[in-house]
Amino acid sequence: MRIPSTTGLPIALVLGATAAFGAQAERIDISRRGPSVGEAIPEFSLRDQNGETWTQDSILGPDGAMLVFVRSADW
Amino acid sequence: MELQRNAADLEGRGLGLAVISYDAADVLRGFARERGITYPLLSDAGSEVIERFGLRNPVPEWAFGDNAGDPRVQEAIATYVSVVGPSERMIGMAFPGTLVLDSSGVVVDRHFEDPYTERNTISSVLLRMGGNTEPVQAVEVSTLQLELRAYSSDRELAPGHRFALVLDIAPNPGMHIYAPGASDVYTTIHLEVEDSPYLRVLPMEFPESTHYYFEPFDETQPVYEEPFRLIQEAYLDGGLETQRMLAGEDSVTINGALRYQACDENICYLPSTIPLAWTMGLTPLDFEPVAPIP
Repeated sequence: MRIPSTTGLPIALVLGATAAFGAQAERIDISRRGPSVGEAIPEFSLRDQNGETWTQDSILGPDGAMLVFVRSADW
Repeated sequence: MELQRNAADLEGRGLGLAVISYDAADVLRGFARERGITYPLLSDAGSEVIERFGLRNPVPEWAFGDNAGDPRVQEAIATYVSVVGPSERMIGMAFPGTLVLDSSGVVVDRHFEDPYTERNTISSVLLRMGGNTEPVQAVEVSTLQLELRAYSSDRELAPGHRFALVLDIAPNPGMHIYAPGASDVYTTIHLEVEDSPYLRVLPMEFPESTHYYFEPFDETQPVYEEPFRLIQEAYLDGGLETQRMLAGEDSVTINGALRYQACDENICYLPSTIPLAWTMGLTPLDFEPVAPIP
């Protein structure tokens, strides 16, 4: 089906751009971000403030762990 | 810091604790030294791990992109970045929140809030996990019908904190307290929290009740006969208005009243009210930059 375009631009391209942007701007749903309940966390290896290296396994206590994400300690 | 206060408690429960941010190691070193932090602050400079977790906040990039003026982007900035406008240094930061892991590293619970100003205190997370946190300024009340212990999940609050007011209630022997869902002839147990411009109270989730059959009326009603816990969660608002309103204050007091009606097999008592108040210390949000330690 042909859709008349008043601007002369290919309409599909315009719609495509809007959809992509719309998706970007409205995509945030915090409940769907990050690992879900029942999922294992991804592997990592990061250093702490004392230069000690920690991994997804070494942060765990005998009954698990709390892994807290913060924006920044600096501002 | 709320986390540091709870670090020993978490360890006692067999739970590890680690914090991830995109800060450089020298900033974290300075921050830990300044605040006396002993648990690991993990440096993910470059945000690679934050990205791998799916928790990188994309909004700061939008704020400096071609669509920055779009109202939807502006709204996202106010919710997820900053009400006073974004800064380029925020690019790469994580969505703030907590993952609760079991002993094999599987997520058993997660606590992420949409508005960046709001976050769960670790004590309130522990309470929702069914744990007992060290009661803070517990108030104990005895009435003819019950024993009540009321306390807050947190000793200190900061704007944006989600916390809990806790009521541990033990009906006296032979007594039953009417639970939600009972006939409106009875006053069912509930907590009334006094309105406050800086408080947002969440709907209370009640524990499961039992059924009580009263033969003379041939009626069955939902009641509590055994000890039970009511958890009233609330947010201390994190907006600028509230921060201004609370500036200079060193505590917040929340007033409320527990309303209930209890009966035993012989006497049905009139509805009762127990006035309650919770006072918590107030920690202002700290906007001072940290002095990095190389």
